[in-house]
Amino acid sequence: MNCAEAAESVSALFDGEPISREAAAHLSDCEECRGRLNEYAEMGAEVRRMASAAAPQTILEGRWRLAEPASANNWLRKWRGTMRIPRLAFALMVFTLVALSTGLFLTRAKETPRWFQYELSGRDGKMIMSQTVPANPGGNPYYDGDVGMPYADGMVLFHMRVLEQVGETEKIGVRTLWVPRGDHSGFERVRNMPEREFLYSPGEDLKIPVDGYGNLEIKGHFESTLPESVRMGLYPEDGRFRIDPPVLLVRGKEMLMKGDMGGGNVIMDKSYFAYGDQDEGWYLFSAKPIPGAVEGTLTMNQIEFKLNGKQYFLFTGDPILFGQVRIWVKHFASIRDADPSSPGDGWQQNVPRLAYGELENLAGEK
Amino acid sequence: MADDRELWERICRGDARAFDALYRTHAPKLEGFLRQVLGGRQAAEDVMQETFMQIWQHPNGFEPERGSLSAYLFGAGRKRAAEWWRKQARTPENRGEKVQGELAEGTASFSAIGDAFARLAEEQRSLLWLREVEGQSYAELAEILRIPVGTVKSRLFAAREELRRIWHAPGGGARSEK
Repeated sequence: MNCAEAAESVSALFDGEPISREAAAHLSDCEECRGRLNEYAEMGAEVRRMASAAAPQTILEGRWRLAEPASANNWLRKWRGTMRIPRLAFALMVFTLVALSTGLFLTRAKETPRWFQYELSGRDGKMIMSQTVPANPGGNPYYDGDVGMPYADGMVLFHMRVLEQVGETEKIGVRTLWVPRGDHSGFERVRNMPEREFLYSPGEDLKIPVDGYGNLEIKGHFESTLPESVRMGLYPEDGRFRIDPPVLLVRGKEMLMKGDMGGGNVIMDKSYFAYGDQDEGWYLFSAKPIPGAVEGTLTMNQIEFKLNGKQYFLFTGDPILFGQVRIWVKHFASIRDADPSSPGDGWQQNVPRLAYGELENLAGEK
Repeated sequence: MADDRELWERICRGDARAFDALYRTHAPKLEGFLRQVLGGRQAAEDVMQETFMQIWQHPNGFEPERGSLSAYLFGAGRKRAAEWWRKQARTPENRGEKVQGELAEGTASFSAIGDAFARLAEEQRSLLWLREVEGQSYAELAEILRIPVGTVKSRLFAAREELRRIWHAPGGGARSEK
């Protein structure tokens, strides 16, 4: 066998594929073929290096989220199939859910002791919308429900806030408006309508009269946890932190770090997560108090804390959890200082990274 | 493979969480690959998004017995890229200059291999990328490119030789002697 005949086997050998006995015998003695093999290795390494450096730094949110799956048995189809809800109303509901999940929550949510799951029905008894909102949110506008339902003679508009828990009832604030056919200005106007307050008891059929339309009707109940059907991938499971890049750390008005790598999902009670780089050191976050740590607040996708008299904010690409919890933050020069069992900084470039580990492994915890 | 099967079954049931996991794991790799095929970031992003949208809305065609989910995605992305080119009324082979320019833009800081790589035909670029960067096996490459395994072997060899030839050619981005 000569070099030309063995050349294809060099390529296969480089890929870890089996080659013929004759080719193997030739390659063992042939300097030219070994040179070719080395060149393939060099080219492969260069292509990989090129790929690493040119890899997309960020991936946009998938447009697939805007579409529903075609499968006949998916939750969305079932849900919509029973709702008879107009496209606009559905879009508004989706908007509400998206706002709940992705907004940078600069207003504070309160603790979420329970969830109010309700259905709104129209004058014909047909369901207009179904929504699950955190009860007693303290007036956070992200939790408001909005919907419009068209009829042959006009459109009824509905806006609702969950105000406060009163004993076993929930105080809700409702604005409504009936817009006769031909008037398209309703959605702006309904928010300016006077708000009526009702006390809602679980299981009750609450009738809400609307001038010119008839009665809307609310029926609902309370849940102690967010129903899985509502979670829909927007939030992590209860009891877990989910860190999705990009992650931004801001001190005052100064951007300290912005990283796009290393998202994770850990158990709150047992684990920590940390964010850092060589210049800024590491900020370690724990749901349990750590000696020497400062207490901060984790609200959806934002952590706020004060360290050495300066205000810090950490933002993530998706909610770390739903609602608000206290969180403890401690700064370390190196992740190994915090957790000796950590594989270490390990970077080749000084780019911000996320790290995760067990609380029991933290220095001073053993 | 068992994980691929389970994930796929969930996706077929319309499980948005499962699809989100698929997207987050594979979207960057697919976009990186499509940049090589299409020669531009915007086109690559569009085709990547279309690929995932298509799978989300019509999840079919993946057979765990025949290859990994990753290979299936690259195959679907490559097919979409071909459709994209058809819509542009151009073929990849006819756009060599543009591809080279755009790849060079993305790889300006790299060695001459980027320049040589950009001069390969689209199929050779795809093949080498999938093998060297994504580590796809011969069987997976056969599935992605819809060619026999034996052909994968010969085409990979041809692609490497062509890259080597361009690399060594005068003005072809040959390595500087150390």
